[in-house]
Amino acid sequence: MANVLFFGRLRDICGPERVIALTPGIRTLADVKAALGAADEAIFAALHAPGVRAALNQAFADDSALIAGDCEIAFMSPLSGG
Amino acid sequence: MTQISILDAPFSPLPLLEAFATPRRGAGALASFTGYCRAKASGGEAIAALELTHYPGFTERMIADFAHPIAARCGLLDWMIVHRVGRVLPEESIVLVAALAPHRTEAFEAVETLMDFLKTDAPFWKREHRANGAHWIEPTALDHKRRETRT
Repeated sequence: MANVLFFGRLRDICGPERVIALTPGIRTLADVKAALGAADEAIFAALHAPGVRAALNQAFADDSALIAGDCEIAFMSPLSGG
Repeated sequence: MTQISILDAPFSPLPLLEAFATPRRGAGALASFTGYCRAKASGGEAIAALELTHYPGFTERMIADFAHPIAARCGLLDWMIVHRVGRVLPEESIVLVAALAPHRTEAFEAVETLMDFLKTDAPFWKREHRANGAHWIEPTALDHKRRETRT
């Protein structure tokens, strides 16, 4: 299972958190994005919007990052502190 | 040594600064920056509150990872980074960054560099609540330009 967290503007569209089953077809972060967006065009567009970053087990990761077993994934809209 | 605090309640910068700089640890300079929640948005509308979220654990580690090389480069004796999360009201403090250094140049540089990082690369998200609804605030082109000049 993957616990998927959403931050910033993405929360308005995806909610704060989802749990997804890691089926054999889900091997990378790109696959996770595709699975989350498969049934909802708005979610697909939001996850692929410019500036969205991802983290895998609390480390920044790109779309090609490999998923291996239970994990925590975060999708983040552009960051803005200070 | 770096003190990083993420607070979900209002804080007063001045007592924190005094405590941070006592004892002085041989410093010749204390530079600090405090950011407040503005009463008006850039378009002039009144701001009822600012809502700040972070990614617990990840946010603190990202700040530490960015802060440590700056501290080493600037020869800091210590620094303190305080950031609010939750619902922040106008005039409340959002962020406090303070650096203790042997000399002022390094103290100012450390504070400015860290603030540029916080604006564009620290895992925080801001939403302004105004009379006409809630609006996400994302870094401006100027924020990105300032950040690029410091890498």
